[in-house]
Parts: sequence; structure tokens; C-alpha cells
Amino acid sequence: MKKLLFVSFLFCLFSSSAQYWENDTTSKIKSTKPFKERLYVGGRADLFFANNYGLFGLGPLVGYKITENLSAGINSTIRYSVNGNNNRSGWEFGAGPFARCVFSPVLLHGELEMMNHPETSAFSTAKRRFTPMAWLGLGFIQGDEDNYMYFLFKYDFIDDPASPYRNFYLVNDFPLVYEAGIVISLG
Amino acid sequence: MMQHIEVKRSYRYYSNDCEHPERVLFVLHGYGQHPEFFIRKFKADENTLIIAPEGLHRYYLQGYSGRVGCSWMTSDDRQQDINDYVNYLDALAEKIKAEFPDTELHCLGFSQGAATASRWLALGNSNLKSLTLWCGVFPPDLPEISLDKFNKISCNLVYAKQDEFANEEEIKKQIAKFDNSGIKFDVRALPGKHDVKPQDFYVYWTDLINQMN
Repeated sequence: MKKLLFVSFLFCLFSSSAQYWENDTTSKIKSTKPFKERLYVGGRADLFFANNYGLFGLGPLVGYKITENLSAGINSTIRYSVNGNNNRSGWEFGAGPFARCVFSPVLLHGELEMMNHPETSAFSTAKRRFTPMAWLGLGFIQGDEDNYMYFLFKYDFIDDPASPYRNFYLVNDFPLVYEAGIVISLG
Repeated sequence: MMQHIEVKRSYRYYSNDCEHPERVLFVLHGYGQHPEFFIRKFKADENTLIIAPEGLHRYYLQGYSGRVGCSWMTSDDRQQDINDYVNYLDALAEKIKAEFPDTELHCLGFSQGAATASRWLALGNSNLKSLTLWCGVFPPDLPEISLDKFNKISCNLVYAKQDEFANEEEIKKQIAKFDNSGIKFDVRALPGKHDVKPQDFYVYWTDLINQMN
């Protein structure tokens, strides 16, 4: 059911943007903005220490504005985690596509992420593993729709038991996390 | 003079979303936990129906309002509470078995739920295929005749090395107690504290199912 909701959301996001692209012949972005001006970069810095667990890292992203409000791109994560609960530490690498809608100040965000990270279970003999996440987020921005700072609550529809995000869920065993970052337009 | 009266009442239980279960796992929470939140710790394969029954007694964890937790029993009128929860768990298992007749039944008890699960197996009609005591103790007061039931199924003990409620020495005594009772438990140790971590449970459960198949 949760997977269905997530897929429906992504489908709606992309189909509405495609429709917008087809129908809105007066769209400024379609007629005037060259490729480079539609690109933006950004990201977040991760720092967390609690519950016998800590990490630091970066989450750079690059996006492309399909319309004034809708964009898509690639998000990534690189960070180092120290887990005192199972005595396993190491680098975590993640990447995946995202789509986001900005209707200032509201930000809607959907993202698929695959992360390679140290094994999270003390019972497992594997050292590292891949874990998927399917995020749906709601937040707000400060700034204009080209350059802004964002604050986002993201819910993971997969909630894999091995998710490395589990250590900093906002509520115990409920797959909700908080994220803040910036976006800078290259145009 | 203390007396009891029997009445009809209802009890709650929570479950995951599993349409065609091959097996059912009853997860019994610890003292002061709530089954709605406790069940979130258990992510299993798509063929496992997870049932989290609620302990018989609800109470406010602090003062007279706020968060609510549950317990299976206290020291007061304990034998009656034990009878009540054994009957309740038997009735629940019967209902689930009627709904899904071809499923195997398993039980995992955490903390106080571990003693509850052991008593259910010993005193009830649960027909379990496996019992797991996770960071919990085996009750010392079970009738000897019921101990045979434990050797007919897969019995497992998972303990935490930094458990706030039991140090390793106490756990070793517990394991010795199993040996003295002639009950074979498969024992596993975790590096963490008094908790069920979903990632540990998932790996444990997958291993257990594979072993039994």
C-alpha cells in the first residue's frame, strides 16, 4: 500500500510536469532559458551525534529545472559514521534520482536512494550492504525559487530494517528524518 | 476475603500488512511498552504475519496523563493475571489459526514479554513452532511437567551484553538454569543494550526461518 502511494505520487509529479510542458506554450522557461541556466547545484551538510551513534558528511545535488516550479536531478551522500551499538564504523555512499516541486514557500520532494554502508546488524557476518530508500518529503524554502535554503521532513516508504537512517529517525522506529540544505541556480 | 468474578471483555492486538502468511509471529512487548509502537521494531519477510498483542493492563507511564504503557502482570494477584493472559493468548492464537489454518505459529517475547511467552508455551495450548526470549528471563516457577513442551520446539535466547537489567553473569546463570532443567536453548549475544533493533531482528528471523526449513 505504501509503495503504491509512493509510486502514485512520483507518477503524478512527472505526468503533471509533462502535461504542463505540453500545454503551456507561453511558459517563459520553455522559450527563453537555455540549458545551462536551468541547472542548479546545492546540497546539505550532515552532522549527527546521539544514541551512541555519530556521523559527519556531505550531500551534494545537481538539478535541472523542467519548468519554473518543477525540477529533477541526482542527489548524493557521502559521510562517515561511527556506530557504538554494533561496533561498526565506516564510509557511507548514496545516490539516486529526485524530483521536486517548489511553490514558494512550499517544497514537495520525492527521491529514490540506494546507499552502500557498513552492515547495521550485529548478527550479520557481512561487512557492507546496499539498502534502498524511497523518500517523500514536505518542507519549505527561504529565498526565491532559483536560490534558496530549504528545510524538509522526509518519510521513507521502504523503511528497510537495515536502513542507516534508522539511527536518526525523528521518532523511534518511525521512518521520518529532517534535512536542511541550499540550492544555487547556475543561471 | 479476596474473590474473583469472570466477565466478558475485549483486548487489542496490532498486526502488520500480510495478505498470505505462511507463518505467524506473536511478539510480546515488555513492561511499560505499547504494542502500536512495539510492532514497528519487527520487519520481516512478506510471508510473516506479525501480531503484537497488548498486555492486559494499561497505565500512564508518568503521573496521571500522557503516554500510556502496558504490562502483562505485577506481583499483585499474579497467578490470576497469568491465567488471564494465557487464556487471552490462547484465544488469540485460535482466532488467527482459524483465519489462516495453514500457518505455523511462532512467538518472541521481549523483556517481561519473554516470561509471558514462556508461561504461555508452558501453560497454554499455543502449539508454537519456535520460542524466542529476547533480553528476557525464563520464569523460575513453571511446573516441571510442562517443560517437555520446550524441547519439542526451537527455543532461542538473545541477550544483550550491555543490558541494563541483567549483567552477563546473571545471563550465564540463566543459561545454566536451562541446562539444569534439560531445556536446549540456542543462545546468541548482541553487543547493544536492552532493546530490539529492527536490523538485528530481521537478520535473526531470516536465519531462524532458514534453519527450521
